[in-house]
Amino acid sequence: MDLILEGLSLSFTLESLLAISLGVAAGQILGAIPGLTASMAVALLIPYSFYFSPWIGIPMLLGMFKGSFFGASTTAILIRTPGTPAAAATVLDGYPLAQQGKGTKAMKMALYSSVFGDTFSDICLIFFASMLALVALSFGPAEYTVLIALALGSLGMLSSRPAWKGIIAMLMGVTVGMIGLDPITATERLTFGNPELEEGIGLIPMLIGFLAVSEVFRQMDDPADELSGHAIHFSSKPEDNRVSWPEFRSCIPVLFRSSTLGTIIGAMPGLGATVAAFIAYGEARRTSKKPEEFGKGSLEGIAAPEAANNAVSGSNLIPLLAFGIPGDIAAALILGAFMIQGINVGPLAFSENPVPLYAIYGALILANLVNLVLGFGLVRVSRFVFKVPRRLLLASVLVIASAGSYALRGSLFDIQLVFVFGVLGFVMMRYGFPTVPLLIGFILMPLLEENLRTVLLLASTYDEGLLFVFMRPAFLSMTVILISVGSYIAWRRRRHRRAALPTADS
Amino acid sequence: MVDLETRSELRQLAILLIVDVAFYFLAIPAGILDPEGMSMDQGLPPSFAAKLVAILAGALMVSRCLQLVFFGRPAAPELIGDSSEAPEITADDDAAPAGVPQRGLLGMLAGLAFAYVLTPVIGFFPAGFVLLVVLLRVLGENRPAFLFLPPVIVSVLVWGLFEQLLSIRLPDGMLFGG
Repeated sequence: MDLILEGLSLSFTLESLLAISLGVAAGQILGAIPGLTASMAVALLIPYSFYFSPWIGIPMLLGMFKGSFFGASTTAILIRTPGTPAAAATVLDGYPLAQQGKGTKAMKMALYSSVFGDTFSDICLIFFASMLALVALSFGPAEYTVLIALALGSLGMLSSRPAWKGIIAMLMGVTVGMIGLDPITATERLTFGNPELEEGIGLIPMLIGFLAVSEVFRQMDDPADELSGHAIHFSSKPEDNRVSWPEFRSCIPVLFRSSTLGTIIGAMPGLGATVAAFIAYGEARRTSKKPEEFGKGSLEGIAAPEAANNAVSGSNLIPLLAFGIPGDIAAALILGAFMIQGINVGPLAFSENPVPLYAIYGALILANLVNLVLGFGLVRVSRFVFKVPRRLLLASVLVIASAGSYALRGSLFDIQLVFVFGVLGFVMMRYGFPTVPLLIGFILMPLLEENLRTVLLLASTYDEGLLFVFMRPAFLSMTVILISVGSYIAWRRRRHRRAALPTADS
Repeated sequence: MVDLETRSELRQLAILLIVDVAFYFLAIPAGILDPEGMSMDQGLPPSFAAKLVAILAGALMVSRCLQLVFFGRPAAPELIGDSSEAPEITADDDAAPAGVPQRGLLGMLAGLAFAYVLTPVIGFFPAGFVLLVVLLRVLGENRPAFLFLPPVIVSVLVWGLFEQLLSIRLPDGMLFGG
C-alpha cells in the first residue's frame, strides 16, 4: 500500500498535472490535423520531454498520446476528415450527425466514449496487466488469421446495398494493400518499376483521399448560397447540443462491449486502434436494436469506435508494462522514453521496483480526467473555428490535408496520391460504391496475408500439416467461442424472422 | 425488358469485368514475378493473393450479372432489426448527385495540377496559395480581399505549424527550392 501511495504521489503533483494538461492540449490539437497520428505526436514530443524530470516528461507524453485520439475525432465528425486513421470509423455516424446540425452532440458523445474507453482499459491495465498480456501473447498467426478474416468478411458483407458493390470495393482495397514488397519473399508486387511504390501505399493518403478530398470535390457542386454560408451549421436547440442521460444510458452496453474489444485488441501486438474501431463499429451495428440508424447519425455508431480506439491506448501498454514488449509504434516510442528516463518496465519491475509503475497508472487516470475537461474546451473552439465560410473551409482542407499527408513519410508522391484517391473516391461515390469497405480491405489485407502465409509456412514444419492449429489451446478456445457466438446469432436471426412473419390469422 | 437501373448496373458490371480480366491476364503477370521453383512448402507464391482477389471479384460479378438477367432486381427486404439487412453504413449513397459536376471537375483538375505540376515546380507554399485562390474563385468568391487574404492566412498558419512548430519541411519546388 505504501508503495502504491508513493507511486501515486509522484504523478499527483501540480507540475505533473500541468504537464499532463499541456500534453493533452497539444495532443488534441495535433490529433485534429489530418495526417498527424498519435505515434507522430508522441515522437514529436519525446525530444522535449527529456528536458524535464521523468514525472513531468512521462505524464506529458501519456497525456499527448491520449489527447490525440479525441482530437482526431473532432475533424472526423465535423468535416469527414479523420485526424488520425483511428478516427476513420467515427466518420461513419459522426459526420451524418454533424450534417443534421448536431455536431456538438456528436463531439460530446465521442468525448464521453473516448474517456470511457480510456478509463476502462486503464483499469484493466492496472488490475489485469499480467493476465491479459499472457492471453494476448498466446495469440499467434493462426488465431490472428481467423480473427482478421472474420472481421474482413463481416464488415464487407454488411457495408453496402447492393452487397456486391461493397465487396468489390473491399477487394479493390485488398488489391491496393498488395502494392509494395511481398512480406515473405520481398518480391515487388504491382509496383511496375516505380520505386515510390516499393514501400507500399500509405494509409494516411488513402484515408485523406477517399474520405476527405473526395467529399470536398462532391460538396463543390452544392448550391452557391450554401457554399458562401457557414462551414458547419450548428443547431441552436439545447437537446441537439448535449448528450442526455437516457441517450448516454442507451449507449452503455455498446461502450462496455467496444471497450472490452478495444482492450483485447490493443493488448495484441500489431493490430492497433484503427482495426479495433472498425471491428467495434461492425459489432455494435450487428448487435444494435436499431441497425437501420447506423450510417445516418447513430450515437451508438459514434460510441463504439471511439470507446474501442481509446481503449487501445491503455491496453497497448499491457504487454509493454508486463513484459517490456511494445504492442505498436506509439508503445515502442513510450518504451524508448521510459528507458532514457531510467524507468524499467517488464516482469522484474513489478517485483523489484513497482513505484514508477504506480506513478504511470496515476498519470494515466489523471490524463483521462484532463482529457474530459479539455475536451469540452476543444468542442467549443471547434464550434468557433468551423464558422468560417464553407468555400474557404473546403479549399483549406485540401491544402492542410496535403501537408498532413506529406508529413509522415516526407514524400511528394503521397500528396499526389491524396488527389488521385480523391478523384477515385469521387467517382466511386457517384456510382454508388462505398469507400469505407475499400479502406477496411486495405487496412486488414497486409495483416491477413502475412499471418495466413506464416501459418502455411509453419504448417509445412508439422507432421499434422494445417491441423497443427488445433493443437494450440488459444486457437481451440477461440474456435469454440466463435462457434458459440455464431450459433447464438443464427438462432437470434431465426427468431427475429419468425417473429416478423405474418401469422395465418393476420 | 430490363429497367434503366438494371441496365446501368449491368453496364457497370461489364466495365468492371473487363478491368478484372485485364488485371488477371495483364497486370498480375507484368506486376508480380513469382520466384522460380517456389513450392507450397515455402508458403504461397506472391501472386496468389492477387489472383485470388481477381477470381473472387470475377465470380461475384458474373453471378450478379446472371442474377440480374435471369431473376431481375430483388426487392429491398423489410428491416426487422437484423443487421444483415441493414442499409449501407456510409452516407455515400446519398452522395450520388445528378448532372455533370462542373465545379467538382474543376476542383479535381486544380487539385491534380497542384499535386503533379505546381508543387514540384514552384514548391508547396506558392502552389498551395495558387490552389486556394483558384478554388475560392471556382466556388464563387469574387471580392479581391476575400479571394487573396484567406489564402495568405492559411499559408502562414500551415507554415507556422508544420515548418516552425513541428520542424517538418514541406516540399520545395525546382524554381524556388534549395
